[in-house]
Amino acid sequence: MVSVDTVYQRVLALSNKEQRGYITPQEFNLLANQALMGIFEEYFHHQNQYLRNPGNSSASSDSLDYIQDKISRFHVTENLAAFPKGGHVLPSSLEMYRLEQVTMNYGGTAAQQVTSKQFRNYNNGVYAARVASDNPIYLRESPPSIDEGLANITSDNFIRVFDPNLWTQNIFIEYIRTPKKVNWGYVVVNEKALYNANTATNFDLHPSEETTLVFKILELAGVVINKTGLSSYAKTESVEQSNTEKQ
Amino acid sequence: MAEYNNGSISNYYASENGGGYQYQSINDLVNTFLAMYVGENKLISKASRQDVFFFGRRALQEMNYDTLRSKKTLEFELDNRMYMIMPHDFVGYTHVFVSDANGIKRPLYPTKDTQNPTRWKVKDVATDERDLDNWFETQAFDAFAGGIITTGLEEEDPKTTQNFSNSQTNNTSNSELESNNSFNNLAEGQRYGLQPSMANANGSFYFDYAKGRLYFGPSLIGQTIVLDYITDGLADDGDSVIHKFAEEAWYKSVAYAIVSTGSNYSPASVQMLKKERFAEMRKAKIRLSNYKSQELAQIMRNKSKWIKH
Repeated sequence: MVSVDTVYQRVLALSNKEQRGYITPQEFNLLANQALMGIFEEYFHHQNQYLRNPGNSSASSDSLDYIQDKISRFHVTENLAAFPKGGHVLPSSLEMYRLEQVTMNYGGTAAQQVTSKQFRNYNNGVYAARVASDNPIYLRESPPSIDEGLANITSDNFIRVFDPNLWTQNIFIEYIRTPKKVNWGYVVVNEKALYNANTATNFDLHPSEETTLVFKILELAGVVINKTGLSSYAKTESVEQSNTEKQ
Repeated sequence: MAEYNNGSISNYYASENGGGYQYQSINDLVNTFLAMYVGENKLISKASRQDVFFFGRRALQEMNYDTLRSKKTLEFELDNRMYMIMPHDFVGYTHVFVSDANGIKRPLYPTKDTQNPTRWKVKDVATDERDLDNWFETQAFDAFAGGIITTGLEEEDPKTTQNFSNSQTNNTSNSELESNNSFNNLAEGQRYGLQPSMANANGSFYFDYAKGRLYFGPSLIGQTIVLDYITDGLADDGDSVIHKFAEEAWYKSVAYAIVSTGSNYSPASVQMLKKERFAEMRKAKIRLSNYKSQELAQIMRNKSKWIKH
């Protein structure tokens, strides 16, 4: 967790609010969420990059372990009830960022996501290629409107488990949740916005992201207040930090 | 299946079936393979579970054919039909025995001198022209034989099988087939010596692979027959197991199959795994062959006997 007030104060200090321009709380909240989601999405690309490196066995400095630690705080396991014909409604896109795994029971065998074409090929193949109950698969799709019991489902996050033996079974899903929306809460006193911790939502990120957040927001703020120097400075700092991390 | 703790040991000895500790289920092996052989910093960086399952099942099939122990066996009493339907999971046979009154298995040998051919019902064309018309209309099949033509696809019992069935049905020790009187008494060794394939008084069998039947000689009617056969390990859930002696061979087989069918692996990796698979498969076969030097020595002592003339 990174304090939203700390970041805001640093952004204001670095932007030299008296000289370069003041960043209002509304602007900050907009830019903060933009920066938050940008950093969050980069986690997955960083992970992909680190997976290709040999890594090291240190307790706290292996890049892959480090990025996985950052991602793991968004990891959620949930039990889902079964709809007819193997259908299951996943949490909405606002809540679920990426679906990681579907299992038929907690800690059990992970079902594999396939396309309908793959499924047809498997099941029309020789016996050895066919899908079995101990090797479950699922398809991610929109709820079929003509199927009885599924017609009223409006969620766009819908999956279907194929094996009829597993149709009535609850399933467990593991997913990466979407970070909470950041908000610098405030009350106006004497025409000045004062920080209100009760209505504020901090950055839902690892504490190590504080500096990155400040630079990212500054970079965006430079565009908003039309100060290219500010953007350039923040961009340079941000790239330098990234290079140091990945060397 | 494979592991026991103190609590389950007592359950094990209370149960009817034992020996499960020898085996690993294919499901466990697939999960282990995905955990240990697939992932970052490993030779196989990504593999779908369905692929591993398929190659795993294929490896199981191949091992069942010539590496794993043949443990499938079926006993039955031969009735007047003189055949037995092949078992549902039959792929090939290893031995066929007749079990005698003392429960001793006496080997039966396959005969090549008879079979169960397909025989269609026939009619004389001259006596029924309409049959011929019908035949052309339906285009049943083309089979002229001296004015006789087939009229449809109805089968009847073939003469070859009937004659074989009727040959000396009451003679259990010296049937036509086994003693082979009709073959110039070759079995008696008058001209060229005994033909080893005929030197067997226990009885004979042959397979009709088209109909999925195992036929026997008439001397075996009423006898207890034991069929040892091979399956591919996929017919029943309980069969999908690999002996621990062959566990490594299974991993290497699956790894080789994935790498050799993938597009992003170096040819050196493919060759390395091919050699490893071969070596592991041979090791598994040797281990499962279960040769014991002491037993071998006991058999070889037979050599020291005097052969009297």
